[in-house]
Amino acid sequence: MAYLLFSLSLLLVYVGLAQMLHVQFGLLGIPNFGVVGFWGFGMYFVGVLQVQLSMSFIDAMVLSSVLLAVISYGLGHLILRLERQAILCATIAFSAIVALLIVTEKWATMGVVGLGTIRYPLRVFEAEEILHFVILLAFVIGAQIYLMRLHKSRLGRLMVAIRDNEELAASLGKDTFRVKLRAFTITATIMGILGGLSAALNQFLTPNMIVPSITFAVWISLVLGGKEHALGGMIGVFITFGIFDIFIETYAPVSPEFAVLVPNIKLFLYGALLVAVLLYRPTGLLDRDTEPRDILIGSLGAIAASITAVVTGLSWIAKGFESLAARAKKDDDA
Amino acid sequence: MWIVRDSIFIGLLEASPLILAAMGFTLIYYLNGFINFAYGENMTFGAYFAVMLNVGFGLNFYVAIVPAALLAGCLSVASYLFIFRPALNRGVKPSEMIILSVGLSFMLRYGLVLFVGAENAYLNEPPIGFYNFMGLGATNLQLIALILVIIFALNLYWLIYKTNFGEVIRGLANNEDLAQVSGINPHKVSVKVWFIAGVAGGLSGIFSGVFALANPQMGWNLILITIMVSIVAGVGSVRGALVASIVAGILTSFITLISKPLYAEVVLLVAFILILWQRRGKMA
Repeated sequence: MAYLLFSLSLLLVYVGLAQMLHVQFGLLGIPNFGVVGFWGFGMYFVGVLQVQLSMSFIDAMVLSSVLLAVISYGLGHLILRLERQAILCATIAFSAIVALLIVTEKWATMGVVGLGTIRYPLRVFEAEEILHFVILLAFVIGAQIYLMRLHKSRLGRLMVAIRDNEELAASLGKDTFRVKLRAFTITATIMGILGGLSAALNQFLTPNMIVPSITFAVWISLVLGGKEHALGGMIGVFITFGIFDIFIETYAPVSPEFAVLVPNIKLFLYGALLVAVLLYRPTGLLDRDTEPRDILIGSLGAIAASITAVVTGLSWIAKGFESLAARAKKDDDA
Repeated sequence: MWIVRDSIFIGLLEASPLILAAMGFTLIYYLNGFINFAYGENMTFGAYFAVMLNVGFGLNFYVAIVPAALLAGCLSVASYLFIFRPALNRGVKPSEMIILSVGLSFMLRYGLVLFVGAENAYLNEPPIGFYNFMGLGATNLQLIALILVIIFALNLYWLIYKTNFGEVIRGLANNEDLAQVSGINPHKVSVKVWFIAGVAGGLSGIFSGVFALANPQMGWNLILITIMVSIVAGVGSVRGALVASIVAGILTSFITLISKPLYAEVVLLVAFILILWQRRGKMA
């Protein structure tokens, strides 16, 4: 149960990251490939302030957010005028810098030894994990409501206009760069706040948490779910993270030998899925105008179908492994 | 002045795989106009093909390099024919082509992990000799890698700048319609270019552990610096990629000599962002 709560909290963190990426890429067309950098910065900064300087969680979070806001504002100033491929490379470089500095600055981050223990922000006897989950849930729901409203607002329409044709938007007298810079700074900082919340979730931080596959998991969720729809990121995370990290790891009857392979199979399938989506359905599952009713029907059907498929497939593979093991054992005996 | 001499020497030895990777990567970017992250896996697979032929089939160490590089070229052509060309034909935008290539990169990398495991794979090396130059050491394998890279790089340079085929590539990259009107088949040329780039990437992968080992993550670790070098060089310029990769190699070893190795990477990455900004993001 405790593990399920941890997984569900992590799922909410991913939903939050996908929501922020939706604003950056889906609405504004900023291809931020350094998600893990912003998230990891928040996570480690909150951790370091709390463990090394014994600050309270709230103070650490405020300080780290202010710093990250300044950094993302500066980074945005440097890169947001560039063409999209250049932005993509620069944000990847940013996340690589964060990952490298976490390894080198051992005096603060303890390097590869790992940093711990980070406490939950609200310390209520026996219930801090549930409370933390509730905080994350409130955060994600709040962001979702804001996104829905944003899509119908003038600002949302302006963002889409900037994405589709920035020169046109600028010629109508809109300060497109300022809109992009503001949105980028705010969303990147929120990614850091989500990182700070995951620091408490993880309790013990190591540099190998700051890996490109996190950026990639958020991207595949958003692209699969539908990058232009307010609910796209959330649906994408439910499908990817929900199936692989919660359903399979917690419930599926997987033998231990096979369980070691699951993360690799997951990333392999993510890659294949991303290629397939971009080739055959570039808008993702939900396109811009998908109605909520269709989403509900479609997702119920998809959940049923995918659970059936995964269970059948896994039991089939597990059976294969068992018979292989049995045969190997027979050979050994003989 | 020892530090300058040392960093030039070590930088040249270290840069040799980067030179090949940057040149091959540049070719693809120049022709098709998108950043191909799966090129990193091209390097990884080159190294694994060499391990497979050398350890699995017991081929001589140096002989195994040739078919391994050719296999890497075939992989590159396959990725073009089955993934990238259909996507280009469907009009996928460059920024989405990159995401596509990242997807392919993860698919290939973790497909490989499922097959061979995540551990290092080692080649059966010939005995290592150690040579001394003016107080600096290099192994025979490092020197052979450097010589092979120089030969391959010079050939590639000659191919792009001195032959008819090179002119065709440049024509196609600059104006595809005009090139087609003058009787150039873009499809055939693309297949050849992807093959050459794949061979270069495969060789780069084989050399990058200085012939010693292969690891599924090696391509991903190399691709970022390859992209940086190619962009800083001014994408599309094979000549620039050659120079920039040597400079990056020397710079890395210089910073490594005066501080920690990881700081060299941080400095290069920061410099990369600043160069992008200073150029106003014009990649070519």
